[in-house]
Amino acid sequence: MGLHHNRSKRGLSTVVTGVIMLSAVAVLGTAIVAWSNSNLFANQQILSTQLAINVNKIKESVKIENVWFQSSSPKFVNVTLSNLGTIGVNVTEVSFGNHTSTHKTTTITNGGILPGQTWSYKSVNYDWQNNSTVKVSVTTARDNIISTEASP
Amino acid sequence: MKSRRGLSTVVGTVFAIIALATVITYVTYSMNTLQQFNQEVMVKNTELIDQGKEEFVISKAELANNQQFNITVQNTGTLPIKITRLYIENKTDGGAYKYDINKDVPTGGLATKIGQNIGFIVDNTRSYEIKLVSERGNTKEVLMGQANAEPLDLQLHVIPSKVPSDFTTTVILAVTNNMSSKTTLLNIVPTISESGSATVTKLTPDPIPPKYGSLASGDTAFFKWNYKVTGTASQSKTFTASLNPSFPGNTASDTVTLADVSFSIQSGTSVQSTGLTTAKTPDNILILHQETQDALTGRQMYSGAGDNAITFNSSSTPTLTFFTKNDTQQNVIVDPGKWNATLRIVSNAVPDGLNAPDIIYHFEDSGSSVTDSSGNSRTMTVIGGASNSGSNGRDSTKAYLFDGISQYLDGPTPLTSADNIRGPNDVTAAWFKYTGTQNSNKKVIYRVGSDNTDYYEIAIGDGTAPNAGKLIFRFNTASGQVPPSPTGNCVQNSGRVDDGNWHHFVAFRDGSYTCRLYIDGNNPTGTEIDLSVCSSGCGATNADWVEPVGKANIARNPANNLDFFKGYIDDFFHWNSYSGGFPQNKVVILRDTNYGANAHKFDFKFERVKADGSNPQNIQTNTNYPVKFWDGKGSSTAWSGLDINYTTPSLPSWTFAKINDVDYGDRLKFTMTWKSGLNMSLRIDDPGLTNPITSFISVPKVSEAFPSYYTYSRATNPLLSIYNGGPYGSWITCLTRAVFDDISSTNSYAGALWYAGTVETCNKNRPFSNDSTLIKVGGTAQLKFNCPMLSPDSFAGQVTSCPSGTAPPLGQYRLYVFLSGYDETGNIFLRTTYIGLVRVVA
Repeated sequence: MGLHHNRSKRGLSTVVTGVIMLSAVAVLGTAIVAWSNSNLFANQQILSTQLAINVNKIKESVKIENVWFQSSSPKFVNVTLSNLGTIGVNVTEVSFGNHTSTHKTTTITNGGILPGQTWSYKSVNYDWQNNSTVKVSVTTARDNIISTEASP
Repeated sequence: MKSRRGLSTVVGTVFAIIALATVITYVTYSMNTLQQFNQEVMVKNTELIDQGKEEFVISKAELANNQQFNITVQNTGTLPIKITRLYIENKTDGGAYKYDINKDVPTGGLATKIGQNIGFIVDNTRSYEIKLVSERGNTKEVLMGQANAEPLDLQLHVIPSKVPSDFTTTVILAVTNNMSSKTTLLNIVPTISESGSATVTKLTPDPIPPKYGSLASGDTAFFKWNYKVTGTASQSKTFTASLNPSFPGNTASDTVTLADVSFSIQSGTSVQSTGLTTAKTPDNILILHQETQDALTGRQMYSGAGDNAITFNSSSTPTLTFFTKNDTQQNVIVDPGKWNATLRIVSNAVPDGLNAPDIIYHFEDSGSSVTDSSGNSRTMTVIGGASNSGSNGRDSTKAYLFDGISQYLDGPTPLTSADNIRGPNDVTAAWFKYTGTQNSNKKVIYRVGSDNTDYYEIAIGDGTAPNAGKLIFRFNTASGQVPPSPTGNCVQNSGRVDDGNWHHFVAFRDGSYTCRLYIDGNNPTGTEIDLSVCSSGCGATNADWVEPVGKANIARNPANNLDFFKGYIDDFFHWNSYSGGFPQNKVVILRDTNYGANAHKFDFKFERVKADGSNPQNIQTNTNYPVKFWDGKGSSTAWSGLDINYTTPSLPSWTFAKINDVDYGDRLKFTMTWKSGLNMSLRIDDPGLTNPITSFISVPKVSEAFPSYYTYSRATNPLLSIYNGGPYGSWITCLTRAVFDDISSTNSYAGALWYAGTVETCNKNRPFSNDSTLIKVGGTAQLKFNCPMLSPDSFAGQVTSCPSGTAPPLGQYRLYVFLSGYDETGNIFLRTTYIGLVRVVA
């Protein structure tokens, strides 16, 4: 005796449905993957940029090396900065004051300091007082603020 | 049934794989990014750690000889460092300078000569701030400046602090830089000054070392001076040291005191030799002596008391010259200051050519009596409170002021041969200044005679109008004559003398009845006045005698207690009988004689000369130098006191060189020459004048005494005087010696002590020696030595005179005395004193 195998019968709709599903999935999937990749790439760029900014900010190393006061007229304060790091520094602002207030702030336009070099700034007519501590603050383009205190 | 996997499963798996891959990719990227950031942070941290680990110090900061900074940096950390920049800021004048250095300093290593060869020249009168910067940004500063910003820790030590004379002492100054500001001091230069009675001589002109270029904070600098100290025991010298520049008042002091030599126990007793039988005077006091030996063309002067008095009068000896002896072991250095001559003098009473007066009144004494300076004791009594205060007399001397009412001077009674007038040739002279009202009244200047019979009178006016204000000299010889001879007048006819001015008169009764009257040196009446003709009894014995009774008065008529004089009278002289005439030239001489500050005019001169008197160098010369009048008051030996007769201006220091190979040292020469005015008597070399002493020269402080002129007769035993200056009584022992060092050969002779005072200390017939009796504080004793010999023998030569053949040859020797003894506290002393040059004579 033999059993008669029932043959599966797939109708055409199944095939078509499969093809349609495959196509849709392929298209949809491809779109999703593409979108995902572009999104990921954009995030990578942002991350890279942020990394560079922060790393440079960390790498920036500036020190106020010397401050001296001229007493004869015209009075001034001379500040010398030294770039101790491995990247260039751009000084954007120098200010003088004390613990409680800032007396004078000057915007600097030519404050570039190459690595290993020094840069001096003379604040003319700043009326410093004998035996009074002067707080000197220097701001760089990378928003690092370097401060020191000196007294005549 | 077969399992069926749908497409969804496959698709889902694919999507899952894609998503998973994407996530893994993103996560991996993020982690890598984070790792990079971490790396950078770690690098930064490492840099900061290294910056913190970096250590270096400025181990030396000084001023080099080339006036540039010389800085040494030491790496005290564990990382190599690089000094990149040097900043120099002038804190005194302002200004800052930056120099690139770029010196590598390995771990534990040094970087030297930083600051050299950068071209910055330091002004060591300024203060500086030095800053060194490393490559990692660390800095070190040092302040360098002057010592006058704050007081420093100064310590001065004199070692030893007690020395015998002629020994050396060391003065050490320690300067510690204890400035609160931690400044390194630049150019430390010490200064030192001395004060006190002892004499010190620097053995080196500069301290050792002369300066420190720099002194770091906390460090100490040491300076040293060496001095030789001379003087007498208990004299001292205080040294005061400071810095230049220094903070005001920043000094340190210490003192060296002279003491006698001791072994292990020090005696503070000062027993010293005072000279060869004569007392020494202080080193800057030179006594004028009359001896001429070894004194070239003059006489001796040295620091030894007078011993052979003599008087010189300038009329016969107008010039006197004195020399110090040459030769000394060291230069005699006279400090800057004034030189003086103090002369014991008596001025002549009157100029040469005039006889000695019988009465002299200069009216200089205070009190109720007026001394007669002629020596005839015609002392007058001050009546009515007349006063001679002030300097209202002639030549700014004193003079009595009479009020014209009740004040006068009353003479003694009875009259004597000094003022009893009698026969002719009476002379009276004086100065007067009438200050009262001009009228015709009589105002007596001088009158002898208390009645109107016999009298002798000089007055202004006589009560008559024609003679108002005129000087009238009158005398009357009527006593005993019947009828009495009239009074005669010798009248000054040239004009009034009651004009408030000083006038001089000489009234000369040159004959029995004649006279001359000189006013201010002139005789306006011409020849003598013939007063009158004796009318009766003219042939009687002494018919022309004026024989007044009573007394003499100045400024009053004693006959009527009237006719008071108002004004001043000064320099009154009276000769009761003048022989030889009184012509006009004598009147002028007397008128022109100054009895005040300019009584005598002398030329004084100090010079430095070579040993033989050559090459004179003027120290000070004054011509026509005034010497004031000294009234002997009738005594030719009433010598003036301590008044300095001659003072130079302040003179610089003078050095009298010691003996050398070319000549035998400089001498001081003093010359005094009488030029004009009164003559005087000068007393020198008088041991009897003790308070004050005989004539001397005084100079400012000297480094040591001028050489002396001692002599020693070798036929006798040497005699020395010693003086105990205290503080304890002392005994002299047999070990004492007198040493004669021949200056012209290598031989020396010494004499052992024989007698100390009256005690025979060393005697050949006695096995043990005696000590002297106690020489009390302030006491003196005479030491007698055995004859000096090449080999001194304390038992030989004990004879009253030294035998010939054993004594030192004739010549010049340096005499030293070595004193051995002990004091009341049991402490011993050994002292050697250089007496000076001694000439050994036969």
